[in-house]
Amino acid sequence: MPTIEQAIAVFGVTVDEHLDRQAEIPILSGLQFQGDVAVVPVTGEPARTPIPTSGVPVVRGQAQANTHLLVATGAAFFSPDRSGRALVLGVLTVEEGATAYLAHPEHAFTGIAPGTYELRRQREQADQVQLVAD
Amino acid sequence: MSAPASARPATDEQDVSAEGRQAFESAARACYRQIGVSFPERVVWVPSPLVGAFAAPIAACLVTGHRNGRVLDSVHRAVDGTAGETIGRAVRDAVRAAADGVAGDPVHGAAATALHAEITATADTAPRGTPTGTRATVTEAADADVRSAVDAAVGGARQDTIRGAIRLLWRACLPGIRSTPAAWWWWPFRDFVLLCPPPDELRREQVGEGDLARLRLHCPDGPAVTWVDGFGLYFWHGTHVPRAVVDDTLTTDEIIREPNAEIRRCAIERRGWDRFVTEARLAQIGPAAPDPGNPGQTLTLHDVPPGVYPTNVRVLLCTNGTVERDGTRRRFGLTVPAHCTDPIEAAAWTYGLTPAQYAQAQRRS
Repeated sequence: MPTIEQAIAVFGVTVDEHLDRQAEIPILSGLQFQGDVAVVPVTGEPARTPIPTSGVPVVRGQAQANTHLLVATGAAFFSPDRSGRALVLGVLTVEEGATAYLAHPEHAFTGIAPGTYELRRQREQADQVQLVAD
Repeated sequence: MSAPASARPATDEQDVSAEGRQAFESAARACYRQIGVSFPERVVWVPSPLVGAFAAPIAACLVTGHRNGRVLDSVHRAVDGTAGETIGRAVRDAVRAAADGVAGDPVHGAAATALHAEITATADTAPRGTPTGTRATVTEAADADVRSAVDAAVGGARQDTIRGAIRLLWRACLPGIRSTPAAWWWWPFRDFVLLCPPPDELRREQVGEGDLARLRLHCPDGPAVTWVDGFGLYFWHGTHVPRAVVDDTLTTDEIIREPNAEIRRCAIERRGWDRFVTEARLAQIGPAAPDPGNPGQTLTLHDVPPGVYPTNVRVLLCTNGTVERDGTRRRFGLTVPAHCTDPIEAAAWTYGLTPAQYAQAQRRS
């Protein structure tokens, strides 16, 4: 398992200073949450669009802050959802031998093992149109 | 959350330059000419619409022959006491500039007061501004807050000429003239004109992205709209709210009794559901559940009685998966459908998962 320090060096993203740089990032294939974003394992059509080196901002925070950025080492793909389903951000496929990460300044890294996943956002009843923003 | 965008007023909201003021005065002069009234020599710029609302009626009373110094002092003290001494000083300055030395002439009494009806009628030849966008929002909110301040100062049982004039004439202002944005409000009287510039500062946040991006007034820790004399308007994510909402000084009872549902919603959001649930003792639904994937943390579900929130909801209290700078974990509440009966079901709903799926969570960060 890489440490937060190693992931910062590889991806060039920054996370809050108080987060332990030596903490290891678990690489998991099950359901995970990074704040208001869920990584949900699915069986279905894999994604086909390669994740660029600069990453994919799957949820963009205000004023460039608090963005959930999807990055990867090895072959990984992300197709943004075009179906208009409110909670689904898109499909992520991580090939064997590759690892994807969601990076966020406050939540550091979520390590994602090979497989296909739906990335989803969180909602609130109070405003079905307005999704939770952290 | 969001970083408030702070800006000097833009669009038809630029800095008020000397040239801008001159241009506005020329346009105002044209309005007087249109109705055949000579333009007054006394043109007074007030720092905020609140100062204008007090100063214009008081000055109008003085120039129409009001001579009771005791009443005048008592009104000024009431303004000091309710609106603060900075506003009070600015009101006295404006009144002095508008009315000192003008020969009081009780004969033309009412005719010497506001000319706004006639000037409004000159709209065809003098293009007046119809406020839109941020300016309309600010105008409406300023109107409401000035009304409250006027009520607080002179709305009591006491009756006298000046108090009566303020109650009647505080709104005797016109929106600025669109082609000359230096003034957003002006009070046209026979013997003087009061003019008020746009706010000094607007704080806004961006909502939406790309083509859908727009700005709305918001400041989480102070006024979102301020004038140079400190008069300010408070906004919570675009909703005009009383200062006590943003300052977070309301009691739980005051929040629950607030008659305006939108203001109540903003006050609860400002306080944070985690605190509000505890302070309002919102009943817990079912037992607390360990949060799957978030070791050591629990989820609790709480009922929200009808009438507290604008929509029928329950509240799920959660704890962040990551520690804050100070070593604590942020607690926060999410509104969920009122039919949820268990915290796991509620948490699962927020991501569109089944409770069985949610229970399998491996990690939350």
